[in-house]
Amino acid sequence: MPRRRRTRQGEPTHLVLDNEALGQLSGGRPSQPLLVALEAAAATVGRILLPTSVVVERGYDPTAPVAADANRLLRTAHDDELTRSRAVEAGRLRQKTHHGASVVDAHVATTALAAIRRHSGTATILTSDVGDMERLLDASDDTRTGTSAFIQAL
Amino acid sequence: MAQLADLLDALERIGDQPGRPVSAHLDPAINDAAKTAVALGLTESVSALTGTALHAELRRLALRAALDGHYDRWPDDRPHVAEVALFLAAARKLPVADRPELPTALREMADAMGADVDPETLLAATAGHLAISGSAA
Repeated sequence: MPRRRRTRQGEPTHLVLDNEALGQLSGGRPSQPLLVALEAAAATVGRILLPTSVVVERGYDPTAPVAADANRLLRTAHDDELTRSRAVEAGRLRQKTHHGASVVDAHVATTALAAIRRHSGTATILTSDVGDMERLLDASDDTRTGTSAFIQAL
Repeated sequence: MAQLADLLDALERIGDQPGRPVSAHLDPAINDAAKTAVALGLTESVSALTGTALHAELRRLALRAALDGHYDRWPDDRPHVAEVALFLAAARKLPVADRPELPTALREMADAMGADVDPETLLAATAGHLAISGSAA
């Protein structure tokens, strides 16, 4: 049975961009699931978070010519840097999955967990890699944040 | 004329410089509430609270403007408000998200409430309606 928590109306819905989400935003025309998620963030004053390791993995170059609309959407995102503390937390999660998840995926998962801890509300990971993300979130010891993270397949 | 790009440029510069005093007209009750929140230890200072809240709202406004710019170009891409409300129910893992009739109920409630209804209000109204109809069944 899925774990449930009570969430008050009006709590922010933060978004965490994985590789596929960044690809869609930097490529010109986001998919409908991504636009729906962006609308939800706009409606709830949720943050859009871009883990910087995803930028590395994607090879995203902000100076490359892209559709202006997509570039504007991407520029509303906050960078989430792989600081020492974030790296330690990501490393612990990754160890618990027996290194089955990538370093980037572990950073993405810890970005979501940290957003919930720091800003309350819920965090949705926008990804094409649902299985690894589920394993990483299930590995979290923090039940409160673990149950407040949601995965949206793109 | 100011452009969205100017707002995005300014948002990206946040944190580059030390803060400086600015004047703003606030509802005195907001000021009182902010001071009380500081006294309760809920936030560091009125300045920090003001900056954080203003930053979040400016990001939201920029996102709203960027999304509207996208829909100006591709009008068919604008999601129905019922889809956004359905996403909020799933993202919050609300029990109502598992109700198979939720998508249809959200569409019907959106039609009844009008085009300008926001997804939060739509979700709350639909969840309430389903709770009443569910308990009556």
